[in-house]
Amino acid sequence: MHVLVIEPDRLLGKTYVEALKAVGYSVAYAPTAQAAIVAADEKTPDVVVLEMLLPTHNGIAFLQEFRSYQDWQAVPVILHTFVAPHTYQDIQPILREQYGVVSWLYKPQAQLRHLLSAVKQQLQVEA
Amino acid sequence: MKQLVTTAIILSRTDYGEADRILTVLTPEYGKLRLLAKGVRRVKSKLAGGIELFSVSTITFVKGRGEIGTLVSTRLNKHYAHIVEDLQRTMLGYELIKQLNKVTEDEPEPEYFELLHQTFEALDELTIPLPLIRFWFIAQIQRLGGHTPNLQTDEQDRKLVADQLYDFDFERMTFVANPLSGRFTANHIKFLRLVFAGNTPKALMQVQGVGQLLPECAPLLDHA
Amino acid sequence: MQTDNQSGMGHSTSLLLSVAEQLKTPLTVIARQMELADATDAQTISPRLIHSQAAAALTLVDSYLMGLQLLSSQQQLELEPVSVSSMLTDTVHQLDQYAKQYDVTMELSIAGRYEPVMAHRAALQAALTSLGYALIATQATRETSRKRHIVLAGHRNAHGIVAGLYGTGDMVGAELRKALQLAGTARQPFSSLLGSSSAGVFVADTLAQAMESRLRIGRHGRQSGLAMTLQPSKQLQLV
Repeated sequence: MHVLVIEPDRLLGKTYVEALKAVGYSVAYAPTAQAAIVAADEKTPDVVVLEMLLPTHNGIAFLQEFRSYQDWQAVPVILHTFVAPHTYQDIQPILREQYGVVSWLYKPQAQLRHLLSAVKQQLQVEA
Repeated sequence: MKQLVTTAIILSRTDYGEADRILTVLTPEYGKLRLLAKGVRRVKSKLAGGIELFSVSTITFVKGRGEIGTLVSTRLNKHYAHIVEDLQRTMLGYELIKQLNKVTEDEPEPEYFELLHQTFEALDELTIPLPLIRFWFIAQIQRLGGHTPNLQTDEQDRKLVADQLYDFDFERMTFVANPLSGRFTANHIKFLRLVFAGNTPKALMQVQGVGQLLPECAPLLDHA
Repeated sequence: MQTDNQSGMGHSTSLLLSVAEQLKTPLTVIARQMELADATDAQTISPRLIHSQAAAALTLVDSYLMGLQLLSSQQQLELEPVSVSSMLTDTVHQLDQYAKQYDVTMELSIAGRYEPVMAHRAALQAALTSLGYALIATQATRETSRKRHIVLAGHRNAHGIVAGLYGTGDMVGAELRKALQLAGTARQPFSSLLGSSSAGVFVADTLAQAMESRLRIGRHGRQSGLAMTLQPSKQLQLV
């Protein structure tokens, strides 16, 4: 099972990648939206872990681009972000229905085990 | 086949085959076009900086025999980068592009291109509040579609006057005098006139009391 | 996510929000690294990484507080002759570990010899260091390692001695220019303008203001960045 982690801070990204690899996932890492498109092109992910606050293009712009490709329309996306959940509550339905966001994690509070659990849950749903 | 050059704003992109994409673009001269972008690999996706959403570009294309032409080349003229700096601004941008794409099913006039262009300008200006942009956009769509409310006379064809209170008749799209408890005053009507005259959101921000007028006028557009 | 509820907030509230947002990153790095070490193998933890992230967070908080205190102080700021080249050299040393962890290279560029400047030593050091952290974070996202490079440079111009930090790519200059122009008028927290690394820029600007200077967009060769101009000391000359 292949996970794409999109995280602008390289150290955080490295931590998440190591944690996911440690439980047996194949993982690709991208610090920007464009790098994520390239990484997804190289190997289609089974799930995407996405930080909304990206340099140059934000997470919504990434999702808009990502979903415009037919083979990626069904890939579940886990929001794993510094953006506090209460600030995007009103657009959660849109994120869910239009952009295929399946899970929401707030990085300052979400421990690694929460991330691993969210990924596992999604991959079990797909399997 | 003759190559045509025009400015364009992308409305949508969809996959087509292994490496091609169909772009739907809005242009001032040719209205809405569907163009095949051949061999556009994902590594050259819009995020790499070619033709992007929230951008105005110059495109060269050839008309096809059927509905779909072929994109020959693009050059980015302006990218409204501030829009993607704010998540809610980005979402509103996508929402308004989608709305405009819907209402321009038939041959759209050049004014729709200009509307979208001005919408990007407004969204890119971080000091302009989103509710104002949304309200303004819907009003322009109505104006271009010929659904402007009557802002000159009331339901009895009398000129609207400054010291009168009014309610709004949604069926007839006209104001109705209600001296005792009407919700709309001369200020509301003046504001609406400015909006429907096509003033930009930036100009509308200068209207005194716009913060209060806006939510009070919003229901007029919701029903339309 | 920035909402219209935040429109119209004052500069100091925006700055505080921005600092709070930016603190999330180093603290989250520390927390997750500790968790990872706990869950896997204790050898995966890097004390240097923890230390440099903690130092980044502490510098940000400390610099923010210093800027506010100096700006709000009724007393005359105590200035002294300070060597810009020494300051820049010290800044490189302070940022070295942090930059290495983000795979960003640093270069010191001092053009010519010039006299010390009159400055508040601690504020100037804090400003340069805060700016350095912010630029490293920005450069760290660049895709090729060749482009992850910042220059700490000093030179003289007609207005004084210029001390600045510069990075590759127009993105740095254009984004920062818009951010500084909007700083007085934007209704959104600065973090929305520059991503999560913006607080360091505005803290540095606050410190510069306390020294009656401002950060300005500048260029160093092909790189753009931010710099402040300081007045040379008339009293001392470097030998």
